[in-house]
Amino acid sequence: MTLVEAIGEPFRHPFMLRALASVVIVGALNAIVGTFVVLRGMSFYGSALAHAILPGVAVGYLLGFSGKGGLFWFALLAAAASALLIGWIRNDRRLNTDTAIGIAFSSMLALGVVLISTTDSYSIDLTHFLFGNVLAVTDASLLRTLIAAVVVLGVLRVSYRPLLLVSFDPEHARTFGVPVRRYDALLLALIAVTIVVSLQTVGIALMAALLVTPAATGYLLARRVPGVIAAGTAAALVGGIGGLLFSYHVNVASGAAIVLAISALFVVARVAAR
Amino acid sequence: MSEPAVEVSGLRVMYGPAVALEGVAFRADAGERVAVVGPNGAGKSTLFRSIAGLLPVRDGSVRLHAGGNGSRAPVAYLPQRPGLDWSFPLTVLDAVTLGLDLELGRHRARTAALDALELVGLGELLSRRINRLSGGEQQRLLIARAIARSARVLLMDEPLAALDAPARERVFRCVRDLADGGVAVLIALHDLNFAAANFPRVILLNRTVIADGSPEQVFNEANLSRTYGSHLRVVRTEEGGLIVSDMCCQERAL
Repeated sequence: MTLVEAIGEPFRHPFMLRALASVVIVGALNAIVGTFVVLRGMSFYGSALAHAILPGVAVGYLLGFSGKGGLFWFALLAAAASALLIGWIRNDRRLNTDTAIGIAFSSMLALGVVLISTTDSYSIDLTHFLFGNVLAVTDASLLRTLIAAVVVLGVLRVSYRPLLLVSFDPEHARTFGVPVRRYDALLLALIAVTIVVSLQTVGIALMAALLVTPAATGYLLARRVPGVIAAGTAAALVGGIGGLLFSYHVNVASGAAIVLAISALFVVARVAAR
Repeated sequence: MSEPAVEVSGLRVMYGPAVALEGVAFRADAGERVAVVGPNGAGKSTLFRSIAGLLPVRDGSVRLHAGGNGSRAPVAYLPQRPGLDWSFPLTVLDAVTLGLDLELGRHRARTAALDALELVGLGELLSRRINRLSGGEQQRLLIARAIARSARVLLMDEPLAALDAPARERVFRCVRDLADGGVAVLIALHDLNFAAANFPRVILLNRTVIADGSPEQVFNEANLSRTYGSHLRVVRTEEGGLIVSDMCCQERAL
């Protein structure tokens, strides 16, 4: 089999074409939103939020909303609840943000596991949520992902400059009358939506890799933020598609293969960009 | 009569139960160069942050007078310890333009940023990433960012601290030119001798205004004692200048 055949052959299958489209949309979305996550040192927050949506997914699943797009809204609700919980713990100034995130994320994850463990197919369901299954993406879920990505990127396009200013120097932003807290909340909402729509591609456990690693790769390679976004998106697409092909040919879990490929690109960038 | 640029009256700021400023009142006119001096914790940064609108003013008032000398913004503020991230992937020009573009649009912001960077001597480093700047260059970048606002009132909190002598001279020349152009420049300083030698007006602050006037009027032993304790002495030079000397440390050195 030639290289061209190895790349082209898998995409004769409709499920692989849908997986490819999903990887492209989700990869680009995560690289762009993830740039702000990395710029603001919010990687732990992103990882925590990904884990904290499990109870929402579990409740939606138990109520029979699986496959109807309903899980999206349940996951989003759980993300909002987690953000509020983190804010509430953080309001006690004796505790720092890391502690608040650690407590909220582990307790929400535990709640999700408890809820899922009430089903008969506990281990299968939990594995599905934790590690995703990009090969099972349907046309309907692909369309939802595309719409969510267009909305998130549209909002980001409009708010790009003030969001960048708030991320770089919030106090300086205030002197221009920029509502810093509102932009902080907006960014959290964009991160939450990004995580939720990416769930099926890599699952909860590996979500942070998709959000953080491509952007971190771009950070190593570029001098300016647009360059970071471009290089991060390229890393997400190359790693995403490469991982998908690898998983097809070697017959391994697709989400984990994508994350490994993206991580390999990060290592190359780390070594090359000294 | 000079045009007022900023008027502060009866300003009181609390941090929880602690009083940071009490009954602060003064006025600075367009084109004035004012040094605000006082010990650590005297409230200099709090005063500047209140004027810049970064702290809510609950008691008293801060009035910034608009327009008059072609200025665009009412106030620009250079903090002592800015909370920005120097590892951020921005070039020197990006860092000064960011924010300004929201006010002026990309093209005019870029022009204003270029002018300000040239003034502080960073015109050669426009495309350098900010994490590669030295401490003094970073400080000059922040000064350029404040200057580029073209504000009527410029507040600079310890702007000269990280600078070597030539950079200090260059920045101070900028400050003088801005004041000559009608900007009211208020600078918080620790160096009393620098304030005495270079500023026509000094405000001595220790939670409230202890004294306000020319260095000759302000720097006397009674005022300094009320502000810093009793260890500072004022020496008048033969040329008519003032030197504030720390007797406590001299004695210790002896």
